[in-house]
Amino acid sequence: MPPELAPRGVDLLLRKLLYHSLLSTDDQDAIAALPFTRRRLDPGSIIIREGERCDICPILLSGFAYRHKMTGDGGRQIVALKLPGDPLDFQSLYLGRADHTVQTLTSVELAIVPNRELERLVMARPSLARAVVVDIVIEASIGREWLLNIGRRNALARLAHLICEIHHRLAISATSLVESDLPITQEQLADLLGLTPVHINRTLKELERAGAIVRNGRRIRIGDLDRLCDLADFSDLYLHAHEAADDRSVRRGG
Amino acid sequence: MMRDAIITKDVPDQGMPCKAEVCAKALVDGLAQAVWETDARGIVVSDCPAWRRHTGQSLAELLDHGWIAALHPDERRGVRRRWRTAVARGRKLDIEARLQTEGGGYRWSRLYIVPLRAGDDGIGKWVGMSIDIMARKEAEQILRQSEARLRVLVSDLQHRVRNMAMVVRSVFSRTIRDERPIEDIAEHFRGRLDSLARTQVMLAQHQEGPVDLENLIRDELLGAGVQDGPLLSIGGPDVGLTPVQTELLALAFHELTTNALKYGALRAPGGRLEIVWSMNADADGREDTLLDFKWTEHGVPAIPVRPAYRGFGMDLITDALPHRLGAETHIEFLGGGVHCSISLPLSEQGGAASAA
Repeated sequence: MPPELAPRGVDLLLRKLLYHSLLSTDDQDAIAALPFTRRRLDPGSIIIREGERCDICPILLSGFAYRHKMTGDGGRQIVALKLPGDPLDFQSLYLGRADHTVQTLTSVELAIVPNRELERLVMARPSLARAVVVDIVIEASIGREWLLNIGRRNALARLAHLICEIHHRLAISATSLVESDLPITQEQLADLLGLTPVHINRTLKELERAGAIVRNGRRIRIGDLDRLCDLADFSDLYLHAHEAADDRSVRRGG
Repeated sequence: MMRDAIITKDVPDQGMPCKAEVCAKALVDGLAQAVWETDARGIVVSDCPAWRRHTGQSLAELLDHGWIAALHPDERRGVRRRWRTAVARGRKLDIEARLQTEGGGYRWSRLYIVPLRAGDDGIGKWVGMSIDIMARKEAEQILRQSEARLRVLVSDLQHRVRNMAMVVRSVFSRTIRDERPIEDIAEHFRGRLDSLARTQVMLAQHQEGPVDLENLIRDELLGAGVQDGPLLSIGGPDVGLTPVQTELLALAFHELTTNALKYGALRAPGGRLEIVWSMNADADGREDTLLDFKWTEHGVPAIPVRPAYRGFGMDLITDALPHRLGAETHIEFLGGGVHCSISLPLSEQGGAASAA
């Protein structure tokens, strides 16, 4: 299927929705027909700014982006990481103002869909509305896992867990961290995990010593996925990646 | 498919698809390294080119009982004895032995030699074949190693569980000895239990190697929500710790951290904590065998030694560390905050702690 190998635009979003939701061909065609404009942004560009109104839904086609919030004294916490195929702001379909900032981590390519077009689809097609909700609910589930990760795991498990998660989520866009590099700096990892850059550096060294990751200069990739998952105490349940398959078998059974 | 097929002129085009003899030969050829014959007395009298190709023996070396010389020296006597017994009793021989290869080295082979009867007159001759079983032997070896490792792990685990029960009992009895409200005791006990649990996670993550001292300290501080910054500096060379050192030091760091949070540098405005260590020579002059660790608090208003702190944490640092780890320790409540130094001999098994 060549179009799947080189997603053009909203197809990548469609593929992600199909991971967790069953959609009729009509629904799928409706998404594929959404109007969008493409945009390229440099690393560090702000896509959505905290406190502002947002009337577009950018979909990440390539590259990484993240949601972050800041304390009064400028301490930054990255609260979510967005990967290719992820919609960056389904929540603005339902909420007026952005409560956090969305920024690019690497150079990214976006497909920008006007919210009113998405709203029109969601109002007309209940299955699509459900898929959007499922997507938001899974993002909340990932958020809960992050809370646990940052609140209760030690540095080694935290970092290993994040890398495992990225690997599993990238599988949706057919990328593998076993073969490609993690485009995140140590400072960014520190902001992602609530650790200091020095601590990240030491922990990366430990992961490398354990054979779980391989480093080449600033590049990080997975060396031994099983070992990494062990160290991370990782279970992919919270990603609900097989939700659509489970749903299908339940419906068939009923 | 075609490459593996046996093509022979003996196979008739019609009738039976193959004669039994041809089939048997094809199967044996596929299975065996070599097939050979001896006379009725078990003496090799004819050539076996496949054996010679495999073992590198010459014809003269192979003949008579010479083939036994192609076996591993450790196995020759046993095989010779068993072969004589087999011939004397007219029973088959079925053994596993290492067989030399032409290129040098040995490969495990199964030798299977059976007597062929010539009517009622007893044994007419013997036929033997050798089958390469190296892959199986290697798999068995790996399985044996894996089982041995598992046995070590299980016994290590049992040891650790018993040890953990002992540690928890001791922590419990020392914690309740302090004369304090039950809520205080509960809080302290839970904190110590959490620290033990964190250490167990670390030990599980480092089953194959030592635990890094700096990461141990950082994890303990992280558990209390404290990280390095302007008010906290952490620094020293890479030091690997054994499980026992890890458990006790982690508990000591927990006590120091808790104290600093409640009364010391991590609570006082303007307080500062400095954690440094270095590796030095021990009393016998052996380089890099003595860990000198210093926990120094600054900027804490001078207050008298709190009796509360004289409990578990004090016992641990002034008594358990010297007793269990051979460490020399000093702890003082000076103006400015706690000064604690720990000199810990790491020796070989400490510095380069390997899989235990």
